[in-house]
Amino acid sequence: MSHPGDLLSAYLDGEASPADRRLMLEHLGGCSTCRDGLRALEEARDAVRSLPMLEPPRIGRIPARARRPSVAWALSGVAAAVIALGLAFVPDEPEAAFDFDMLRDQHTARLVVDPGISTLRGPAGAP
Amino acid sequence: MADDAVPSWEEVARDHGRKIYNFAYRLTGNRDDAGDLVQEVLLRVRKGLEGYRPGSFDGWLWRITRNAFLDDVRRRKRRPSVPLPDDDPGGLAPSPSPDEELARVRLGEDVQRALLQLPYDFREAVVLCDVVGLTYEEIAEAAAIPVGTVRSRIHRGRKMLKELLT
Repeated sequence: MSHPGDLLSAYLDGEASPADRRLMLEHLGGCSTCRDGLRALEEARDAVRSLPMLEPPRIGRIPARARRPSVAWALSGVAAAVIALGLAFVPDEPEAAFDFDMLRDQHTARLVVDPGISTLRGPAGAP
Repeated sequence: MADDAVPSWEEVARDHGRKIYNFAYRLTGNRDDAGDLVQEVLLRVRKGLEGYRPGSFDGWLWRITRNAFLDDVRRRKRRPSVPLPDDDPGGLAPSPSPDEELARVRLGEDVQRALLQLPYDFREAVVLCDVVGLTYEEIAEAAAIPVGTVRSRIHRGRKMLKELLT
């Protein structure tokens, strides 16, 4: 088998066919150039995969703080006990937090600032 | 998601909004642009779901996302953008202070800078694969290109990235 070229990335991603995988394994066993190439590709892939997933702004969401426990509750003895036990888990974004009307209003507000950001003619534009 | 399931708009917003945002951010390096794209895509999805027929949902969603992104890129080329103050630090989780974390953030910045230097087609394929987590087949469907082209773009993109990061 000649050097496998872009099959190396497919192999790395588990996207090579079983037949290609077998050929790759045989080839890698005897080709240090391709082994080095595979390692370099893996490092590049891992660098991108290790980028943090950023949280988007609260697009189309009801502000979470409206649902957070009050300060009074947070300072109560019950809260302190729960925290001490490591049980304080308040989900930041409950599942039903998305609201289409809010998204539409936010989008309209953005259009006022920058009318060119959307090709949609109103929120019901075609995809 | 099963191929025959049609999600509600809220499910799409909840389950995919974050990935759409990260897709746009990694392609542009700009939080405002990424936020605009999420709005645009979710609005298109809302409309598109009315006519959606069960199939490859990821392929459908990412085709919409990609088209919205490319529309936006074309629009920005035609007209000067209106810069908005980048005053929303809320997109990033607060970073701890240890040196290790600092090094990780710096590495992330290097990787982001390198990504932005890739030709668009390579950058898009790498981001869809390694940030969004799509399979080669899903990327091919989203970008309307053969799987072999996806494989080649990912491979060449990673090779260039490695050179840029060395």
